[in-house]
Amino acid sequence: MVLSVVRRDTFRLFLVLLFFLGLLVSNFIFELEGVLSYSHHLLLRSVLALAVVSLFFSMRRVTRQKLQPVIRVGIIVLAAALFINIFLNMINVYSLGESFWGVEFCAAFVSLCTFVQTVFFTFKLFRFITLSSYFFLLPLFTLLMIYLGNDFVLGTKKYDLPRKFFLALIFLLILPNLLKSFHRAYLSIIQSYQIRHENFYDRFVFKEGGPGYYGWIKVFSNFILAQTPTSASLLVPPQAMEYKMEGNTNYFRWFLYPRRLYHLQSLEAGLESNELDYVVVSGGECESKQCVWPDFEIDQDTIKRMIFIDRETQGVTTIEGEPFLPENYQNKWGLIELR
Amino acid sequence: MTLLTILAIQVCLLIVGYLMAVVFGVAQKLEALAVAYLLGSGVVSIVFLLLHWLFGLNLDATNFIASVFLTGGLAFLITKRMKKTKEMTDFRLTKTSRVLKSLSVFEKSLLILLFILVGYTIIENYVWPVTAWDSLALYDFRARVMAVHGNMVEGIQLGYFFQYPPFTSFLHLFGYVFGNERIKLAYSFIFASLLTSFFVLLRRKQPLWIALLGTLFLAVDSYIFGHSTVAYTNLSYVTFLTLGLIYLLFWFHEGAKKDLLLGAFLLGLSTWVRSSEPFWLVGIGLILLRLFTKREQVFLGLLMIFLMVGISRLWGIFVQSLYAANNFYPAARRSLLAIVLSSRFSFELLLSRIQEIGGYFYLYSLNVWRYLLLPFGFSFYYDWRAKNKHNLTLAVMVGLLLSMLFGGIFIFSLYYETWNLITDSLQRVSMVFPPLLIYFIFSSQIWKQHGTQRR
Repeated sequence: MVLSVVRRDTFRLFLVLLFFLGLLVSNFIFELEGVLSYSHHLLLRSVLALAVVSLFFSMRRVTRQKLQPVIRVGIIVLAAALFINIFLNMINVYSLGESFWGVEFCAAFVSLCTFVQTVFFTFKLFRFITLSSYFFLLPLFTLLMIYLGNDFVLGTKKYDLPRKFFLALIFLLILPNLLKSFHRAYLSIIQSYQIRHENFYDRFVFKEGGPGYYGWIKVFSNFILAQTPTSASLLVPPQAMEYKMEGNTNYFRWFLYPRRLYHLQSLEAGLESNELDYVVVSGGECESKQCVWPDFEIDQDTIKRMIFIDRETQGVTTIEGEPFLPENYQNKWGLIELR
Repeated sequence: MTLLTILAIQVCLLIVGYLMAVVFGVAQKLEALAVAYLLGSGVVSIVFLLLHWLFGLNLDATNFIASVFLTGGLAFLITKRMKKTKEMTDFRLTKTSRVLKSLSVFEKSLLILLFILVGYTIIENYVWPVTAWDSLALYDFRARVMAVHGNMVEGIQLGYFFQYPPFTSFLHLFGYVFGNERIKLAYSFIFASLLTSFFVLLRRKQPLWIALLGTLFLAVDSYIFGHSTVAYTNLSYVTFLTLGLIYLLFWFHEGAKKDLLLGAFLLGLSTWVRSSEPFWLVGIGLILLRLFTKREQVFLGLLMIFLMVGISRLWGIFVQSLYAANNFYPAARRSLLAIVLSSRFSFELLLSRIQEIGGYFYLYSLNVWRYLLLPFGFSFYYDWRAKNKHNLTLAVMVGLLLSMLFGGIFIFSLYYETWNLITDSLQRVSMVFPPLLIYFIFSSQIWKQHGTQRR
């Protein structure tokens, strides 16, 4: 009788190890394929986690207690690996060599830096930094559940089968959401540390994907703020997909207030309107096609000067004594100051 | 200094709200703390507008301080008269540490997870500026204009300024008037209040570990968690509306006055956040039904309905008076009733439109809370068998809300040509369902096992 109970526990322990190994292997495979966070993959691995937890708690208490030290070591290893991953991402270890103190340190300890670099690239340690939080958190939460969940099991000991199925459902629903939430927290910690020296409002640029993406609107707005007085009135592109940010006056005004923004159709006199001081030149989001707004000519006599900002270098150039011909300024960003 | 200033502003609102909760008869400190920020921010923002509108005070720091002292002072005097001040301000650490020590390891783990999640929102909201589209276009922009001018007059000329009630903008403005730009921290307080209140309400029905697990389940709902760091109206609205409805649900079955007061205030304040959705009317229906069937607390019930209606109408009346004072007369808009009555549909067209709305509803609204349907189904079955009136009433309320949403989409489709292209808007409106469904699931009889003693 005792022997069969021990055998049963041994078999269950074997299954626990098998499912946990399956969890780790599937984690690794999905990580390599870059699909770790996909909902159906998360659900599949949550099922594996559920299997580990259920089988673990079906073993005798004395068996579970004997395994506690091993589980504790597993938790410590995974937590440490996660913290190292977060730390290396926070300090942006790829650019350490170019940082001020990195250059100084390696100048003083040349052989050490050479050794670290060799090990780093030989063993492809850079892959460790690219691992997502899901890689660590799912096995970590599974181990935490079996380490700390004894009271939960006691509280649900007398549940009948339908209720146990219901509990399993709750587990399968909460675990993926918990992982997604912690992943957001993980990204936030890293990004918040990396931008800590940036001007508060300029953090908008980073949050929106940088100057090459939606963050460009803040960079462009800073350019306009620097080139125009607060009382200026600006003609902006029409509200269209290509100009969805700078063409939306309700959105763009946040960046430029108290400057006034107008669409061409809202001004009776059009470009001749006395209210206008500047025309915004927008390169648009034209999906690799050429485009620019204004898409009409503005003659030289109307223009005082044209100021352009390069989207990649943020360098500013001024042009005077020329008309605005759209074909000459495709995908350009800037301002036309009117006479 | 920046962090201290913004925290001080939120704590002021918290203190005012705490005193108000005590006035309403809340005897449990945790419950008073849970609803404190919601009551405080809601009522202070209303007094803030009233002092500006009726007494000509600018929308500035002086007005904010006056609003806090006026509301807080009045609440303090009432609590002193009620002889509740000493009892409810006794926050001894020894008591708290004793409570924490009594928690099991599992309960402590759940609590730690919740603290980590709220802590993340504090970091995220403190470190990053406002970036969300609608906030830049309206809520935050409005606050900046008010901070510069001390009033909303320029909003008439600017356009797209008065479409939503001012709660969210005032939360931002309270920071701007003190020269503080970390205004998003307010949303962490809203999120923490939602979770704490949800826990307190669930705890009334379930043991501690189930209440904590249910709160964690709500905290990690992707829409709720996602909006805890976005400067939109939706999280605030969902918080006020769902908590208000659950408090009224308790009052409906148990009759405690403080549940009526809290429920009515929170529900009324939901219209101070967003006024386009009529979901709060379900609460009025619930109050009227109880008044009619039990004939108890009639005066108080009618007074609360009057209060809710008053709060819902306040913004509209203010805007009309502002327009009139500045000789601005916008084009009259057709009422919804006129739109519905003037619409002509053949039976086939009506059927086709309903089908279209059904598809739209399935793809975008259901998407928000579909994952809760199966556990809800399980819970409903057990509650039906056990005749759990509390939850069965909640199920009816959820059904009514769904019908209102569906009907609302239909009416919207009558006058808005691109009604089915603002899918994310429908998803945000549907955020009211997860808290109610999660509450239903975790307060259900399904968790009761034979012989379990509630701890």
